[in-house]
Amino acid sequence: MAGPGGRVQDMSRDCHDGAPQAGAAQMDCVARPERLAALRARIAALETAGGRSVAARARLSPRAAVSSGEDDALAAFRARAGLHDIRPDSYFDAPAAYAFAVRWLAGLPDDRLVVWVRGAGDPRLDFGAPCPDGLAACGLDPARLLLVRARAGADALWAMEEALNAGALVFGEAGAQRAYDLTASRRLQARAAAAGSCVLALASHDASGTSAGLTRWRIAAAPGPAAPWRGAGGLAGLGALRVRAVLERQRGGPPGRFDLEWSDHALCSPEPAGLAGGARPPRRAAG
Amino acid sequence: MERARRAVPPDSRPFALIAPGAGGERLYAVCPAAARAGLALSMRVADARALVPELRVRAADPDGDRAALEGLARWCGRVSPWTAPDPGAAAPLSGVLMDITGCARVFGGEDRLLDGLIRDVRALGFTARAAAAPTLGLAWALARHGETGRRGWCAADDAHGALAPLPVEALRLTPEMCAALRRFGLSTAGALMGLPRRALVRRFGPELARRLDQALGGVRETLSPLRPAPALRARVRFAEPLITLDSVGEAFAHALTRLCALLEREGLGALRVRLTLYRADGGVGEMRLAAAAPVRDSAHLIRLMRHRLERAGLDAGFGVDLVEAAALMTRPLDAGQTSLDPDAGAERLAAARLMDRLDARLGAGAAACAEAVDSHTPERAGQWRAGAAAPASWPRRPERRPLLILDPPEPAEAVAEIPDGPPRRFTWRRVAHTVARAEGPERIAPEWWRLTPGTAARTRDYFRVETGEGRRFWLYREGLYGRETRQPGWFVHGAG
Repeated sequence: MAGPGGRVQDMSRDCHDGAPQAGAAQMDCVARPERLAALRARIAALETAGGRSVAARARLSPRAAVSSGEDDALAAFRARAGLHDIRPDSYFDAPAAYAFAVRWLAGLPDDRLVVWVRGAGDPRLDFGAPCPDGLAACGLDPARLLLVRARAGADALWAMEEALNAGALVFGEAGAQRAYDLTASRRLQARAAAAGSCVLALASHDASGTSAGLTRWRIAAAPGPAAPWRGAGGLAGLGALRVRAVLERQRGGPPGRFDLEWSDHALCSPEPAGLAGGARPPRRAAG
Repeated sequence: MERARRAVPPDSRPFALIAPGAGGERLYAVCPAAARAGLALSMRVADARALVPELRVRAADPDGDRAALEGLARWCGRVSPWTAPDPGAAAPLSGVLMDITGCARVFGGEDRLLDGLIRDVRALGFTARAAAAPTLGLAWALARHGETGRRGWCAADDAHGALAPLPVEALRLTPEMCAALRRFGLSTAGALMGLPRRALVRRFGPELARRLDQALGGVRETLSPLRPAPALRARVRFAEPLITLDSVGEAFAHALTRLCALLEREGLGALRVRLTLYRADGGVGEMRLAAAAPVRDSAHLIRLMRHRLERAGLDAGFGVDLVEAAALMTRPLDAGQTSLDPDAGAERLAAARLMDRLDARLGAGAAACAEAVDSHTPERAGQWRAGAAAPASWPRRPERRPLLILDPPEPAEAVAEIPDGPPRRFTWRRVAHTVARAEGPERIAPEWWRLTPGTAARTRDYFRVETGEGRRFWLYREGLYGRETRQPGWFVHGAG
């Protein structure tokens, strides 16, 4: 706040020069919008510093928008540097949560180094190691990725912080660790904000506990649309990947719910968002 | 010039070490008091007890001796980087060989070096004799048979003159050959030197002539050092031993700073750095730093060192009086521009540095980069390789792969409508899944040229499936129905 301070000092010198009226009036009209902005910033800082959102757990908004990979509903969230928490809705939704995180990172405009910190073999998140070709199919260049295996929870958190310090984008499975508590999440959030980087912390489906993250997502797989071609054994082919992302809470904003759809097939162009959202394909009867 | 010195195991009152030999236990080593009483090596224990009833014996521990000798050779690294243990045929003949070419200057002359060395080895509780000579053979001979006086060492520059008065045993010959020479009245090396060479070879074989030439410098003899000689090293010596690990860290930081200055002068960057601490009690501690890209940034190396130091389990013991930083592996590292896009280079470098730090703290191999292998087997095609640099780009492949791959694949119980069709239902991890969408099969035959004989790998038919809940899995059926197996098994190999 050196700018306004300096200006006020200049005003006082004007007063000495013998034009008190004009000086005061000028100060009033110049300083008011700035003061307002400063107050707003302070309120925002107070809100975020407490690690508590003003928007408490409200009802999920009924609005559900389906968006394709191109027209990105998440862009606004992605743009915010800081910590984002991700949890699968159930045990078998973990792969969908991984897919969500990878596409989140792939959708960021800069091609920074991505550091994927694997946890200490948490059985609730054990669905295998990332496959480089699978990453490439999700739009994340495997050459950008550094995979880190940490044995202990504290090591995983340390590796995430270290990667943030190096300016990398971080995806950590450390959210499943017991060491990942409010203090640890605050540290990560501060580091990420300072580095202007993004850190995604994946927790297990049954994880509880508070976090200082900017957003918290709960990810569930959703039945995707049928592909326009026939698959194997008389079944339809796999269409776009669909994921239901529930924004459980966000700092300074309301919760929300998104049906996301990514179509990455070579033969299939991305569906326009409006069309996909307007006509949801009927759910197949689960047999 | 090559020099040698030797150490003898500790000795006290009439005492001998024994080891099993021909016809029962035999003396392996004897103390001076026992030797004065008339005991000799390889004497039977029963005979020795007859001569010296109060003789105390203990079983010899050749392995322990060897390990101790190796430790001593390591410890001698404080004098020269080029040291090797010389076990010898029997314990009293063992010693440490070291090349002190150019090292004397550091210690203020050869005399001071040898004085200091003898004093330090004696402080460790050993009786020591040392000799410095132009050849390994002569140094070996002088250390064992030369006149060392009270200082405990001798030095010689004239090989012929120094070797001539020494007994033939000084030539590193077998006891049988020494006995044969003595039978002919040839008891000193000088007597051998006076004889025609051809007659010597005909009579005693080429070994004698080779040993003689090695001692005189006619044949080149090199010693293979215990530890690789580093390209560059920097050491910091302390008058007062360091007690705490913190101060050792500071000392390492100091040594690393000096090492980086050396690297800068040579235009090199280090890939592997060895940090050694020499304890006052003769112990040696060692840890290594590894870098993914050549480095001569002392701040980076110091950071790596601090991460390693926490976990290396080094022990300052009774004090550390010397630390050394040595660059074991170096690469040219020019300060100039390396690529047209400076940002790309800086980013790669930052990634390499991050990898170093992660490896240093989490253990070697913690950080890995993707590596593309030209293979059809999914688990081989994309691997994570620790310590490797990131590939410049990833090849575009037409095959569709899941985001996550299970290694090893996990068996599942699946029901298919037709034998080679996709599964309609499968149970994996104790939960039944119903397949709503499926694509495939993608048939991948095993790479028969990689198979170890005796193992039968089977063809896999991969299916991408989506369950009714929208969860995606990657399953395969192992074995062609009817041709390779009657009961094909199903496996889940990936998800996402």
